[in-house]
Amino acid sequence: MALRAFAAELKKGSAGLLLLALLEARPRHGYELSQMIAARSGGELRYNAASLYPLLYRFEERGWIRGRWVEKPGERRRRFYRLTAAGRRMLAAQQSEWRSFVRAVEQVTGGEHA
Amino acid sequence: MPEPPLQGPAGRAPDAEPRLQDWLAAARAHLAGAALPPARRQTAEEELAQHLEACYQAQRAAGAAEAEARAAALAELSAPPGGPSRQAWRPGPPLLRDIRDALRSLRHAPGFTLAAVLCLGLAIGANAAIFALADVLLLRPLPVPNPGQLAQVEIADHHGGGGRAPYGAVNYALYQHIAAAQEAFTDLAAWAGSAGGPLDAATTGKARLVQQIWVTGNFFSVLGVQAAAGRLLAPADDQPGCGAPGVVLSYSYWRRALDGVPIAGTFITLNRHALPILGVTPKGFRGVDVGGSFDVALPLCAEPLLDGDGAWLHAPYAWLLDPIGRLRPGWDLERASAQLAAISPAMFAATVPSDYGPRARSHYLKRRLEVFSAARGVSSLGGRYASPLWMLFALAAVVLLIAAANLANLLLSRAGARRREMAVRLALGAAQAALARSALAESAALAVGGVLVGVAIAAAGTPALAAALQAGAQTPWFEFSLDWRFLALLAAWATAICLLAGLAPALAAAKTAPAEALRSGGRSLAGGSGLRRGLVVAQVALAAALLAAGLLFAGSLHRLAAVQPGFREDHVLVLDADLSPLHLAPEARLAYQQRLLSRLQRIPAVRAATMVRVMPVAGIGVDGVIRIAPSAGHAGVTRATPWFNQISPGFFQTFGAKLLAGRNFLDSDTTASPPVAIVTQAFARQYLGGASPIGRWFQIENMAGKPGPAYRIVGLAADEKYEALRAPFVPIVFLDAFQNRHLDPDFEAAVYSTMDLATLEHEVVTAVDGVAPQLTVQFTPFRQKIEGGLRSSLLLAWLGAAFAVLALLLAAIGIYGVLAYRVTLRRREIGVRMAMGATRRQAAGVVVGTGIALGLVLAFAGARAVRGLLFWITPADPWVLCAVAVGLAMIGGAAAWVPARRAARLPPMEALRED
Repeated sequence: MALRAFAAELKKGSAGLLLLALLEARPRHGYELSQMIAARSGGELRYNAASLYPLLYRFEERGWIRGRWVEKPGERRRRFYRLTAAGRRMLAAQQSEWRSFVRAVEQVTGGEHA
Repeated sequence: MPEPPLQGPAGRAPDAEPRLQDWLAAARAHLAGAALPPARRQTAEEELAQHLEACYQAQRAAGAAEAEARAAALAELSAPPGGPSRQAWRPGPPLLRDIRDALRSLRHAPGFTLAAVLCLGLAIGANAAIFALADVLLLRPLPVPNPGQLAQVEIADHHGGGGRAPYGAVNYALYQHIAAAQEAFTDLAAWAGSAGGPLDAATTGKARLVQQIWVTGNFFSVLGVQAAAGRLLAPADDQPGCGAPGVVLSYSYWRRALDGVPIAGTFITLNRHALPILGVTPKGFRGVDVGGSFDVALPLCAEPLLDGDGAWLHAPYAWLLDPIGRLRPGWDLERASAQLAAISPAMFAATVPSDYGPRARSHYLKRRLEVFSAARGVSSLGGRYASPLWMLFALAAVVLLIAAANLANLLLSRAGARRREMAVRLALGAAQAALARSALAESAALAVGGVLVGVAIAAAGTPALAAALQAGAQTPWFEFSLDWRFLALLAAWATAICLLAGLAPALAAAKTAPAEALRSGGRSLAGGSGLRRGLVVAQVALAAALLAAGLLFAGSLHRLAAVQPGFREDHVLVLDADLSPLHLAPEARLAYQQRLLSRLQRIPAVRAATMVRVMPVAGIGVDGVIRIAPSAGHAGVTRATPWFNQISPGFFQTFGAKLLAGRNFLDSDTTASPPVAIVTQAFARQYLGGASPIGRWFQIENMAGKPGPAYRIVGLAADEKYEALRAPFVPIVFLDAFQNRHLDPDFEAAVYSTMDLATLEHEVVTAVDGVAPQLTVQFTPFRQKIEGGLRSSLLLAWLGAAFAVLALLLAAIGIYGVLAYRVTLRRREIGVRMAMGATRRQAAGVVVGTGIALGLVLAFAGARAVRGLLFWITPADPWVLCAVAVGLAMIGGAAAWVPARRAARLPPMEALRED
């Protein structure tokens, strides 16, 4: 139970980083994002619609990402999100923050075990 | 992403596969509680729906069963694991959220919302306005302390089978005897209206009439009324021979005529007598005559002085006083009646008029006194309007019923259409309570909207109604006020209907298994549609009944207006002047009136002028017993009771009445020549077997039954209306006013002129001023006198017609609402028909035809139902029934046509795809 809560906290903390990172390469739509997170984490991380979209909208409001409806012939229109310049800066900051955090955690916990 | 195919995999019902609409509904339900700006909400709904559909399709592609795939997709919307997180939608406060959601969902259905709110508003407005009227005229107690103790004494009509006599008032002598001998009342007061003629507050020229009440000195203390300023009358003010006593003003007259100036030391001139003003009655006190009002209240003792030669106080035939008092503690109406019945023989024996003959005397002595409640006042006006008012009240109640059926129908239709949405929300785990709450919020929003519209309609309609009723009245009778308690009752009614009809389907939907509801696509509504059809049937039937009633009222008024009254109604001005201030001897009155009349005839614009004792169709009449002298070879009666009028030679020319045979009155007919008379056709028909009346003789019996001087009939006039337009032609005897030695001090005349009446009035005033500068004249266009008598019929006809229109409007809204919904359900069928080559016109015909057939059947049923509702008009007028059927069919057709056309305009492919 405690472990579950810990995982949830981690997930919450890392959500921004994950989404922004996935959007760095190219614009993607919501369903694609959820599928990629699930696939790349081997099913460890899952964002269902009820938690994914509120995040996307909040990031959009903060100006980190920008959604746009795209229509292709013969298909339903979809909303694609791309990273903005502000989002790119935020991603860089979060990545360096994350790296130093992981390093620090590893140093502390690895130190004990070593 | 391609559309889901219309046909699912083999062996599966085509609607088992969820469609994008279902996912949209699920998304909408999921987002219902979220605080989102509208644009964002739209984006989120669409994105979420696509997401769910994509999940579902992925699961299906991976080989999952339909139900499993559906569950997996819906799981996407469940709360994130680990309890509520920052990432969830931000919810608004629950109550606000419900209201906001309700408003939003109503905004998405403008047709439904408009129909429901209008329907409620019209019904509430109409009922509140009618209630305001009925309240004032029939229901409201007198604005005095403990009105329940008030009772009035009347002469009971035991000859007419008991109960209230049409003329139950007493004369002054009788009142004095009763007041002394009665034991039932703490004190017995009495009052009389302006029956002896209104008083004149002008000093010269055109009369300024005021409505007075004559009261006993204890009148105000018996009622318990306190002065708003100064003091009211006391017993000391009402002593025999009181000379120029004090006057009490009504609050409204004080404000209107005196601008509410302080009354101490001021005087008012009434019939040339300056009288000190003692005080003012409280605001809202209008005497005890319901719907009546007064300007000044005077002690009875002053009547002989002010009415001069026309004084009635001590006249034995002046049955003008209404005794009123407070019952002693422990006395009820029955006991009081018993006591008064016990003293009646002595009362009547002591007051029998001396000139009564034996027959009149024994009739008089058999009379009994009876006590009636006066808690709501003495209702002369209420009596006149009571039956039309109750009728209008019934009509308004029917409108209320129609509105209820209509509303229930609209709400049920809407609930049916939203069944799928409910099911989806339930499937998503929404609590039943939440569903009920949102249904309640929507119903409450509708009820509030309807009540607001209703109050607006009532607030505008009530003064309009009051103005229409009081048009042409000398003194405004009363002001209307909206009764907030009744409005609250109507609001409660509206809310109850909304909540019941809104909540019931929500609860029923909550009971249905979600999967089943989803699968049925909200289309299997067999149970609900039966109820709805029943409601439309009820509504159209009621509307037909109302329409029939409205047409019958309008029809009877039309017939009344088409009546040939036998005289001209326009271009005649009626004059009324009171000669009593001149104190002429009875013998001098005739010469004076002749002089006045000839002066009027000399006005260049006046084509004819006449004296006339009984103004036609003004609601008054004088009858008397005559003995007709038998004539050789002619059958007929020898004793009859015709109606009388006294006229001068100009009468027939002034009123455009026809003289068929014989001669008119001549200047040579004087008090010195033998008395002559003119009679109408009805006289000849009824009394003389149709033989010519000319040359026949009759005598008029006096009260004692003794025949008076013999009159010779010299002319035959065409029939004309006498007391009222709606009454049949009665036998009339015209006597020559110029042969009457004992003319009343009232000068009543009519002039005929094509000049505009206002200018004519001025000319007449100038002319009268030349003859008698001290005289004041009252003017009434004859047309206005006629319409005054028709007012209650007019009111009923207009309001009946208004209610019929309202019922039609509501019926149209109802039919439209239900058909629009049915068309939505049958879009696919209509689409298929059109895809198969049916023209749009034909497709519309399916729906319109159904509407017309329904309307026709129900109009007939409705017309039969109205028979019980109309208790004083014959309902089986075939033209009315036809008009009702055709009218409702047209309304139904029109109401069906709009949605049908909308369906038929839909491109076939879209209709097919949508379903």
